[in-house]
Amino acid sequence: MSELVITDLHATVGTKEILKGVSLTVRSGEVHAVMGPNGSGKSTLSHVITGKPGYTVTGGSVTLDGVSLLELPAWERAKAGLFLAMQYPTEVPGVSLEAMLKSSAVAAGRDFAAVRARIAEEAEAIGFDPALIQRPLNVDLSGGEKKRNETVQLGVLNPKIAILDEIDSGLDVDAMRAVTRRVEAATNGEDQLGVLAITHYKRLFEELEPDHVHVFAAGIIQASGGAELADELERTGYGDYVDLVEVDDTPEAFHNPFGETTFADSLNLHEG
Amino acid sequence: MSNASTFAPWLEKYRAAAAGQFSDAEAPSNTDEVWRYSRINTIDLHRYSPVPAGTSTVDAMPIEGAAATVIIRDGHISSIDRTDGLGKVTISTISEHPNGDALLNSLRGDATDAIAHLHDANVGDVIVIDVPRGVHLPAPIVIDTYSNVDGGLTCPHTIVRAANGSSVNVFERRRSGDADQMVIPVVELEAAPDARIGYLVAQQLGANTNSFEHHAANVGQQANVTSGVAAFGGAYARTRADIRMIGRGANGDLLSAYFGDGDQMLDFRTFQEHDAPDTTSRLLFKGAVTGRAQSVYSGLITVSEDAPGTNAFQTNRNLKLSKDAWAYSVPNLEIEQNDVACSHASTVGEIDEDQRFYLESRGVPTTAAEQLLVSGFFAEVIEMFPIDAVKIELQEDIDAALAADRAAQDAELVSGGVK
Repeated sequence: MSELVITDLHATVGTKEILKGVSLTVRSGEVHAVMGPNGSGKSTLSHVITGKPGYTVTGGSVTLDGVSLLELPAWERAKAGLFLAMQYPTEVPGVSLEAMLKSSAVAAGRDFAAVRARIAEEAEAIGFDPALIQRPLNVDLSGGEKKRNETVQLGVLNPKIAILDEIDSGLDVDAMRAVTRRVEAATNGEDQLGVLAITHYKRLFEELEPDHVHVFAAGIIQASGGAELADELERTGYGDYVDLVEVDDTPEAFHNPFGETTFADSLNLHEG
Repeated sequence: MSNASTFAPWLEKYRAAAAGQFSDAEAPSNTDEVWRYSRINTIDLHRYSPVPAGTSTVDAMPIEGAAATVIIRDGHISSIDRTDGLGKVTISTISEHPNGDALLNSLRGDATDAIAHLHDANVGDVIVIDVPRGVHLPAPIVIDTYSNVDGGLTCPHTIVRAANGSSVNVFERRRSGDADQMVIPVVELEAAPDARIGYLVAQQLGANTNSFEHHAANVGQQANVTSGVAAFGGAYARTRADIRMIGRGANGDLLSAYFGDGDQMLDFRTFQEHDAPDTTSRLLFKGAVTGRAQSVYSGLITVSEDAPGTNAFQTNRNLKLSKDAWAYSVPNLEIEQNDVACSHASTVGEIDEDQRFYLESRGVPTTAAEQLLVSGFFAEVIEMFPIDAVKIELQEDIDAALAADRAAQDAELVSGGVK
């Protein structure tokens, strides 16, 4: 049983505070959806947790099974069992998927022959062209191929907790189904993957049913609930939360006059 | 081996004349445009002199499948091992060669500075490779040079002549020991119509060797020359490469992978000259500098009015791997023709942070991620080198140099922390 615990996380880019006190716990086998409008800081959350350069953590903590992640370099967070499927997977000229996973396997003390076999299996399972395993990472790949590539890696690396940042963006229906089914399978059975799925749209949940849905806007979780919250958002949009987003640029004194907790409580959806 | 090589009388005269010109020549200076940014002012050309045969010894590094291997030590031929695969291709010294005096420096041209005079005054066992008409030799001819004498000077010189419709691949390995020494190599490549020459030099000189290398290639009608330099060693190591497209439809490619560390300076000056119609030249130089190393790239494409339909490309990309390293890149074009397609591009950058993060986020340790990215950066140009047998070795040289540099940086960090 693993547990990713995010507590009162604050982070800035330059002088601008993007995360303003995020608290969230993801356990093995659970699927958490974080939904919110563009520009709300959803991707920042995924980047700060996984250690992407360019962000400054100004408060709070993130632990995985009690180990504090924020002091660790990105690769040690990955080694500890964290995985990030990127919204826009980076093109890496000259480095193949296989070369990268080999280096990762060496660092983790895994046998590469077994890893190589896993790559082939995962590629097959998700319809990822095996020829691409030897080609430079994400270079000249279609949107669907890039997300399949991310999912192959998820399968091979077998993390405890996976953060999926808009994994549904740029996917056609078939790719979407293949990717979400693979993730869904990982949350069950032996693997008991815990998932934090960041998304804009509900369509991700056709195959990957969330246990918890969180509305994220203006740098904090505004509301939390079950799958029905996603349905409600689909009907009403983020309109109720957009004012809060717009408040974002106003002076601190005017920020969120209701207070974060009060607002969530008023919807009676606040987690815990 | 005898202590004194015997040269043809014309060559003895040639050397003596050059020695006189060298003593009269002015030392090159940083104020000359061609020596700008270089370390020429710190090098005393008169400190170095030739070394008797049999002084330095080292095992050759064999190349699998070589058609022939020429071993040169301290500037003297130590052995020539010819396999049956060499066929009708001949390897001779310039003193033995029937046209030796006409061939020597026919492509490089007459000496125009003190360094070229110094080369000519000490040139001796020039290797001439003749590939007869229509003969194809894909297996490489290997020339392995080495010396290790304090104050030593060697002037290797290789001439490759591919007759009409023939093809050949030549690989030179240039090594030296740790002694403070100088090497002035010249390479002349002549591709007759429809001929193809693949040439590559691996410059793996010692850290205290200064090197001034000059390559000159003429590419005839519908001929192809691909000339590569893998430059890793040396203190101040300069390569000048001239490639001239002299026949209609000629194609000439210049390639380089270079990696500088410690205090070394790698200096490249390239000249792509188009003198015939419908000719193409492509240049790709990729380098990395770390520690306090420096690199200079300066390139010029010239398209004469006789060369309509020219396609010329020049790309120089540099990775700066430490804060004290320094890379300078100056591409240039000089075009007297309207009907041309030319491009030049140069970049100096650091390892891409997003790429590193991508690899790290999949559990690849920071140093390993950098090694993958640097290897990947060089893979593009190494893949284009014409000698397949050494590609893996060259890639490993870069990996090893980077690993050593990163270990040194970590050690510095640790000792810095102890203070």
